[in-house]
Amino acid sequence: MAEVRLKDVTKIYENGFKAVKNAVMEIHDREFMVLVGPSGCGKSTTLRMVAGLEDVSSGRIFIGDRDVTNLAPKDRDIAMVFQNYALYPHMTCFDNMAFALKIRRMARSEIESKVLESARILGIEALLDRKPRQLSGGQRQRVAVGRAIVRNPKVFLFDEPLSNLDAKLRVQMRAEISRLHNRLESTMIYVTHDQTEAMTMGDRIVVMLDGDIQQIDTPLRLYHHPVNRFVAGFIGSPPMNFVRGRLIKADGAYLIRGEGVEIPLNEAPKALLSQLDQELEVGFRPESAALDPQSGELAARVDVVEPMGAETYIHLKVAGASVTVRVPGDAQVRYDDRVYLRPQPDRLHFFDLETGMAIV
Amino acid sequence: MKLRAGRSAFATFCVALPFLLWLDAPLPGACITSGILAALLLLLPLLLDVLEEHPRIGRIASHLILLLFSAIALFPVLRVVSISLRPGNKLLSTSLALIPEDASFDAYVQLFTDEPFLIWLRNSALLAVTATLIGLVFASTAGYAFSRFRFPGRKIGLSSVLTTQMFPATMLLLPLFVLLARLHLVNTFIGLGVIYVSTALPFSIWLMKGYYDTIPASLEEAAMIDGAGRWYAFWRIIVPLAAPALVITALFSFMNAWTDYIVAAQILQDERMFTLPVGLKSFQSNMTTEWGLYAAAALLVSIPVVALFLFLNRWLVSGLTLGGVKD
Repeated sequence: MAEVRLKDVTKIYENGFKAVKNAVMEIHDREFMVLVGPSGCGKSTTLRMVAGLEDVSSGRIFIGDRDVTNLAPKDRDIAMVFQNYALYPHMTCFDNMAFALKIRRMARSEIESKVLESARILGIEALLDRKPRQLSGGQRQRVAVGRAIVRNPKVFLFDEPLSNLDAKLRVQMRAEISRLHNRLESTMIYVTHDQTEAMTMGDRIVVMLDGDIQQIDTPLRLYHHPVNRFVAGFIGSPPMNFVRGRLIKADGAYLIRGEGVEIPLNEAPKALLSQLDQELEVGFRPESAALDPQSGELAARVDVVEPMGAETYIHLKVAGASVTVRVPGDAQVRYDDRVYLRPQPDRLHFFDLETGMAIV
Repeated sequence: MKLRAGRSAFATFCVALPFLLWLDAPLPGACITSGILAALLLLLPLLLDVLEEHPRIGRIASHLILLLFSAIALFPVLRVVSISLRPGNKLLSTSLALIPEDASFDAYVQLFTDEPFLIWLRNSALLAVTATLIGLVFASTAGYAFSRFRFPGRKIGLSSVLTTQMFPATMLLLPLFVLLARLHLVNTFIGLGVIYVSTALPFSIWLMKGYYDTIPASLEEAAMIDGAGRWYAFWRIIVPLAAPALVITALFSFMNAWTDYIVAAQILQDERMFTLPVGLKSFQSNMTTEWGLYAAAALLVSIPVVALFLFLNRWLVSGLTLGGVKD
């Protein structure tokens, strides 16, 4: 069993900067947990504290049943893949992968069979005699992953491992790491700033901002039920659209009315009723609004048209705000067209203007 | 047009220079050298055209030029060789022959038999090697600490280390002597060795620190996660990667001790304690200088340094860390 638990973990740097504030999370055995957030949000620091590379200012970290808070990295039975690969430049790939096993004084023949086995899984058998500088970026990253899996550790840590690869290779390695997770059935913690990576790879995702955990949830729950405006805007690509409006009741029906905005609600959520006559932030996903050339709730002007093939992203100007919608690829829309937006009333998200918290 | 005029004026000057030199003092070597340089300059435009079309000729030409300059650099050394080979009665001859008439190895034989040259050699080697080894240990570890750890006093430590480099050695001579005298270390190798280690260390520490700074910390982090302790990671990962810096540190420490005259001349008083530079100087007396012995010894002193450079050359390759991490 290798679940990882963080209890009120805080990291304060010497200069007083609070990188991580009272982080509480529980990563289950065999779970693929992704930490995601913009740079400086504390995700890497959190991972490095789990690795033992950073001291914990307060709080405790458990791996399995063991309190590892004060253990050296080498005693935590973890493996880590770094953003810059961190392969030992003066050693061949074989020696890079064998390094940890040699430290454990494993028999030569056993080392050889383990390295070969890992190399076979990753398809890098042919590279074992080479030095890291003779490899391409993708090959280096594969060797770095190989160095991690050869030890069969309790927990794998990934620190933005794909950020240095080009886009195509990144997609390929993404699938490969997911496949590896299914095959090894081990606990993995993966740090990235890329929400696509988080969505596609994670069993669950931790969204962080400014050292605070915003939400821990499965990818789809994050997408459909973000707890606050930040998560709503961070998860999803293109991101969620936000418009401002006041909730009012007219002729017995509720509607949101703002500058250039008038969205009728079929039925207002209960929590929303207390916000009557208050200004709110209304969010809707690019796919939750239909375009109508004749009439609709939001009058808009086409700003940019991005055909992706199967679908087209259309960026619109709505009363000064930018809104993106996702329409079928055969939609006939051109720059500067005047159109109307019709958000689906049951797919709207409401956020408190001041706290940014979702109103549900 | 202007350019061409300037060029031909310059060329004329270059052609004339050897003759002017000849008038001043009849030195065929200098005349020949500047003559060749003048010819090269005259032919430069033509040469450049040819080089563009035939890179092969360019390679040959560049080698010829390199050979020429090597010859210019080597000539003084060869003069020393020739002086060391002169028999005793022709030491002050102005002959330019590389191998003098009646060449003999008398000076060398005398050096090894009549003079305590071997003892001086041993003294020098002992001091230089010990100072180098101790310097390497201290510089590699201190530089690592300054590079990797953040501790109170780090900044002050670094700058005070640098400050000690700002005093000229001659200025330190008197205080150092007094210090050693109080400690009863005058005329001892320990006293001299301490000075050699401590004068070379500031530069070495900064050099090592600077090099460690270029080695990504993630390499040690990877090693520590792989199961290594801080020391093991340092020894197995960082030290091999820092080889170029270690080589330069070693060369610097070695040269610092090997070539020192001023400090050794003050600290060492017993002839049998002399290091090579001090011993060498003892061939110069008030009345005469034994140029033959002097030249022979000078050559022998430089051989180990040359050998050391050749030997360490292959570790001086830069870019050893290439490929391990994303650049």
